[in-house]
Amino acid sequence: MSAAAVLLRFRLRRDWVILPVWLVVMAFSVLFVAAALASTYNTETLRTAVVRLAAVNPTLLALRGDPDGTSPGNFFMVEIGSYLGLLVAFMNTFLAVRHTRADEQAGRTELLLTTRADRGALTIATLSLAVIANVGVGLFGALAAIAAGYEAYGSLVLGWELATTGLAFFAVGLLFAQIFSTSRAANAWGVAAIGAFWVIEAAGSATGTASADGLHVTPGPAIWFSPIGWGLRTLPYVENLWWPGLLSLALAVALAAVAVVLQRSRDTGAGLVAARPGRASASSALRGTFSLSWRLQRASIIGWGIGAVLGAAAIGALGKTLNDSISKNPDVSKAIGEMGTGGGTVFEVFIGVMIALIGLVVAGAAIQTAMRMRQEEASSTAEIVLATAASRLRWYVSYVVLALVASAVLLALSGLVAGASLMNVDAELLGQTFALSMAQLPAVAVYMAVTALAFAVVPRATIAVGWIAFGVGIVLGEFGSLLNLPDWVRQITPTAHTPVPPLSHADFSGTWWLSLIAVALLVIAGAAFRRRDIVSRG
Amino acid sequence: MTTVIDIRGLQKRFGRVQALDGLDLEVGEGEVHGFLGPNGAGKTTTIRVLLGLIRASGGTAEVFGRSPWGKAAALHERIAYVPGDVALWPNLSGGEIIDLLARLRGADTGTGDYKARRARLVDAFQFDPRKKAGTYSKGNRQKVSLIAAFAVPASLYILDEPTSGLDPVMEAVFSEEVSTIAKNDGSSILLSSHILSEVEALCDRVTIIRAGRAVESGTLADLRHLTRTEVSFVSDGIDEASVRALAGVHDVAVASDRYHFTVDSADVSALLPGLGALSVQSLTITPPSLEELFLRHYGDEITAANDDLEPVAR
Repeated sequence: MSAAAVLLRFRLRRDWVILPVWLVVMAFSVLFVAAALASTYNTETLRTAVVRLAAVNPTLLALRGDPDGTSPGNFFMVEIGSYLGLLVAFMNTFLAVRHTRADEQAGRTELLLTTRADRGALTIATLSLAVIANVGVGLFGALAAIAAGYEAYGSLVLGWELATTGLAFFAVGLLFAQIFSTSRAANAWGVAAIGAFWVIEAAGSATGTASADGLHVTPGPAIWFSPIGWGLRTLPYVENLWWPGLLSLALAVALAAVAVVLQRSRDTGAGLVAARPGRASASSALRGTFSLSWRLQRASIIGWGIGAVLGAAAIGALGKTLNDSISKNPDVSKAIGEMGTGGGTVFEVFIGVMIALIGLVVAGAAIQTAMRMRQEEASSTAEIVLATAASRLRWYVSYVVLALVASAVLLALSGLVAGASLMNVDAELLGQTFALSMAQLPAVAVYMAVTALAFAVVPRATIAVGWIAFGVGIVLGEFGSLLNLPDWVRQITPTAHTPVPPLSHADFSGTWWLSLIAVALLVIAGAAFRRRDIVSRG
Repeated sequence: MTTVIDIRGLQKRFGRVQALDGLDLEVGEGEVHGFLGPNGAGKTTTIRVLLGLIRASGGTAEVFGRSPWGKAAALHERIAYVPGDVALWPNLSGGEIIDLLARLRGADTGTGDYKARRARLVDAFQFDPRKKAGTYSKGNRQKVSLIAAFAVPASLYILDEPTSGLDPVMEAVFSEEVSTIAKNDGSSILLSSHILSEVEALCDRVTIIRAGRAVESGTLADLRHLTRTEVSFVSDGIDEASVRALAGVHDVAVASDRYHFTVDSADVSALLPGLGALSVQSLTITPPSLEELFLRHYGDEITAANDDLEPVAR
């Protein structure tokens, strides 16, 4: 067997859990959204109403993509198209960095290069892995759509667009892995690039021009500058175009070629961008376990914060248009009404749903902060802190307090931003969105506390428990009410117990229960953590 | 002499693996104690128990007369720890981590005393504190930990293979630091190491552990008595029988006119008149090195392992 084949087998062996997880998440998303749409937007009339509304609402177009008719297939693509594009983009960027820069940084590449394998073999193995992974993406995507009841040819086009978009982002990851000397930096730039390409696609969709009947939207030129946009423009189930996927393939080949040239011209282990030197001594701010946990987490907290605030601003923009047009349309009112749980006007329900989504984004930040405790423990950096005069309890409390304070600040900012952008609808909304947004804090705290408890009791499962809790929260929170799930299933997520608008009738009793649960879980976790062995990776 | 570390019958199980199996270890105040053993013998596990990071399954472990489990933080104010495999935060610079660890140990990093110590150590270890920890080699990560440990005075230093990854010049700097601390501060040091010359040069007493138990413990002089001294010389016109006739001689061998044998270390002086009578030339008497002591225990293990393997081979 050639060196490249050995390397490829070894890479597949390393990824045999993570790759299937991505594929299964993608397939389930397809099935889930298809089921949700089948039970909610099941009539032509309802779809027509929603498409007409979306066609004149730039915010909705930006978030979902441009509709092309009212067929179930196109409606499905509008609902899930850019989400799937983002999913395969993240999967591929991380995959590329994991097999290039991360290996190189850990010294594994160096070890391999001293064997019969040369750089060429490494490149061939990496690119083969990319092709295999994305053939898997395409097949899983297409099969899931067929299984959900969509037409086969259109589903194959969907698979093709996902696979080609995936390859383009794999190449983006390869390029950043060559430029930066750490996998952390390469991943961060990869995520930023995904965000930028998504914004370009969203801008293209938002600036689209609607047809006279209001059922078709032709996107603005910006959409042709983003692989996510190219994917959407294959228009599965409607036009079934194959050639936009070729644009993604061309980009993939071009970026991969640049990456190979860069790789050949540099030293193993080096990047094009050298790491900047740091401070020779610590600033007076870095002096305890709390400031350390902030220092380690600030970049990701700020990242989540940008996401939450942008989401809040979008709510403002979207809410204004909604208020202008939706409430006059009874069909759409009904559809939106089904997304919420409480009473109130459509507009109020909408605000409630959106604030719950912001709560989820902030929960993501809180969960990640709690997970960081396990990452610190696994990499043995917790050990050198715990071997100083810092007690275990102080170390643990630092992370808990950081998560709570950061969540409160993010929720406050999001509430203010959403309220401020709705001020020209109704000035009183500022106080309402702020109060309701802050009332998400106990639910966020429960997510964080569940993760902390996992860390204290089953440390090796912390990361899995945290992300599963988050995933369940997102799925039930975003699509749960579309699905006619039994009440008790919907009640599992903490966000189901937060107060809903209107504020004058809001029920805050759930907030107290959630607070009590969060505090109890955090106390149990703290006590359990003090009583267990510190276990590093392995 | 006050006992700083007092371990009796210490047990630690990880699932089905018995990592420590009745370990005894005693370190007195002001003592530099060598802690030796092959990989996987349980040295790091013992240290993690002493730091209160893991809980003993049985037996007792006391540091400064108190159990480290549960209230380790108070003990840690008096302890400096250097792990064997130093993990650092890749985004922080070496200098930041040194200061952070000093502050976490309760030191005021604003004092001239701290700054002077830190500057001296950074200089002695030829360390660049501005680089991000992610770019440091193993040796440089080790330096961060060593500088952080020595920059704040402690009553007890727990050093787990502290020189792994350091070059010989840096090893010498390390040895000098340890000697200075031992001489001037009266601090105690537990030094886990594989580098026997280092232990021989620095340690007052040594404990050798194997498979979770202490197999030897005592001063180097004590331990030397347990092994034989090697003697070799050249001599014309004597026969092997007259060499064998000397008191306390074992393992006699002749290789191109040179006689080799071993003798119990306690019997060396009794042997000397006999050697004089044989008119020996170019005589060498080599006292047992720690390496030989250590290999004796390794040797047992190798034999034991072979014994285990044989039935399978048949």
